[in-house]
Amino acid sequence: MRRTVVVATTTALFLAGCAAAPPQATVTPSLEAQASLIESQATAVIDSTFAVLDAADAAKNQDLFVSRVAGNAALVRVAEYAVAKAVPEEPVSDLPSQMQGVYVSRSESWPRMLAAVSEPPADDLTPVVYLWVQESVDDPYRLVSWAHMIPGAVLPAMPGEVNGAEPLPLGEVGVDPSPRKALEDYVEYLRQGTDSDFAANFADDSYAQQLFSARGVLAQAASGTGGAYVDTIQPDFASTFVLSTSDGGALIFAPIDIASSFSVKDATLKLSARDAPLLSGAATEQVTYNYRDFVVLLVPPPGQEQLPAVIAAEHHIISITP
Amino acid sequence: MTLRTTAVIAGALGLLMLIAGLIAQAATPAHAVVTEATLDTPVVVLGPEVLALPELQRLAVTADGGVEAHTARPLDAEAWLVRYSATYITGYATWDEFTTRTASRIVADSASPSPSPSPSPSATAEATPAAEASPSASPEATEAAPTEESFDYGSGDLWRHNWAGEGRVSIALAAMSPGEYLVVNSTDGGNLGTLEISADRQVNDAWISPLIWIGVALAVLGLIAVLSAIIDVRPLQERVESWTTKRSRIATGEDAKAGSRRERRLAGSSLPDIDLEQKGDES
Repeated sequence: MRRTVVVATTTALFLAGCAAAPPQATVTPSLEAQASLIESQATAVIDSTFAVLDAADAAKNQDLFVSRVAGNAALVRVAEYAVAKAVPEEPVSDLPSQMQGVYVSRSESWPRMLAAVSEPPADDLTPVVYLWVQESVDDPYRLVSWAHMIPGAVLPAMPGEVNGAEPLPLGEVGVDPSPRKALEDYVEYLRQGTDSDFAANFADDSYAQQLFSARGVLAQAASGTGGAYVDTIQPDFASTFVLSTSDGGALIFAPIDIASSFSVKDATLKLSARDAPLLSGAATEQVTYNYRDFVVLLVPPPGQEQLPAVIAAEHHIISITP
Repeated sequence: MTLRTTAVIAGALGLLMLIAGLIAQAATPAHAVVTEATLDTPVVVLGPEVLALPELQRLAVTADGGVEAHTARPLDAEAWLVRYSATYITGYATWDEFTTRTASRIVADSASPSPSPSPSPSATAEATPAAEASPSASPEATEAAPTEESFDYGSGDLWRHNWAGEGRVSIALAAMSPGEYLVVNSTDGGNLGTLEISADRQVNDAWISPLIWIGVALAVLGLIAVLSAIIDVRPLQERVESWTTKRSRIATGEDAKAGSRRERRLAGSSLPDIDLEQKGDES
């Protein structure tokens, strides 16, 4: 009997001690949202940027940009502050903070980008395309460029915020022309003007037409005084980003540097009230207008009878040098 | 083997079952278990494979100052973690202990000696007294430098979800998105205190209650059998039998009442006579 009790008790204790062994972490679940930013993150970046920008705009003080506005966007805004302080009739450009679309990538390396398209700021103005860049994992996303959409242009459908758009290299061969070739050709088109052979490679856009129109007027004015007008246009490939569109095309976000040199002979240039605050030094016989433009160029997917087209572009002056 | 013997054996078996069940019930580990670890890094990390364990309920991390918790894409979290000493919780060794891995980062102090060319030999002797005034690692200097200000962990744009607490942060792990890292850090860059994870472990105890109740039933049965063997119930049986006989009228030989059902039963049942053939002819 005693032996039976001992056996029963031992069995009970053994069974009672049969709590399941600790779980083993062996299965790694797949990530639900592959994008580098989910909606709440993108919203936080955008809201933070416009909070900073509103404060800086109110004081017209670039020191308040803190860590949210940088690069060409900061240079352009600083120039706008300088003009607005000197010419009250020239306020800083209206940058709407309400977005109708946010484009995120699924980038796994740095630098990374975030793009957004605003609601139209006014009935007579087109939406604004913004570009933020994160240089490293420790850096915040900073607003580096913006440009109004070309009237009539349509942004392509982009992958949703869950998966994000595939970042493409500049030499991507899945589209024709490659993003690098498309940008090089477009810059060459801007350099050569309406008579360029590259004109036929792109859909008409008001940005290029306005650039050519101004060039014609200024070149004629300069030549009338024995001077000259020269546009020097350079793409900034290091700061250019490309995203794959939903249909297999490529959306190129490209900053472009333009230096427009205007010279006269036997005369002294006099700048307008709007331009004068941007002049560093004194105007003599030659001045150079420095621009940091931003162009969003769409390369359609293969097989479509459609030319590469500029979706958004803006001619931003940042300084004038003698 | 008589019925009584069988019942006694069943009772003994039931008693054993009852004892075993009660002992098992007392020895059963609790379903809720809290596993704790002491941390000596400013950051603790749980990977997606650990967070996916269905048993996990809540996580709590303590520190002397503020504590922040974040989730991030694995790739982003790993890129961020490169700069910081961190404890990685990789799973359970036992229910009382985690398996961990520690990654230590040694960051050069900004006040380290400059690599500029050394002064001439003649300057060495002159520089000696000045060395006394140079910053030192004396206790006074340490105490004079409170570490209340926030440590710069860089941008928080990579974090998908954020929690914060003063001295302690607690997170329900069931709400975590699958596939993400959970990174917890102290806000002042100091070491964290403890990590606690509560879990709902599976315990094989569903058999204990049935065992106890069946044991109770069998023990009661056996007890009755034993009692019946000990107590002489024959006088009681005799009284019951005589009472039963007395109540039975058959045993007394009395005649049934005329027309009663008993009389009809004793006479045998009778069926009514029906001439089926005759009824068929009439139709």
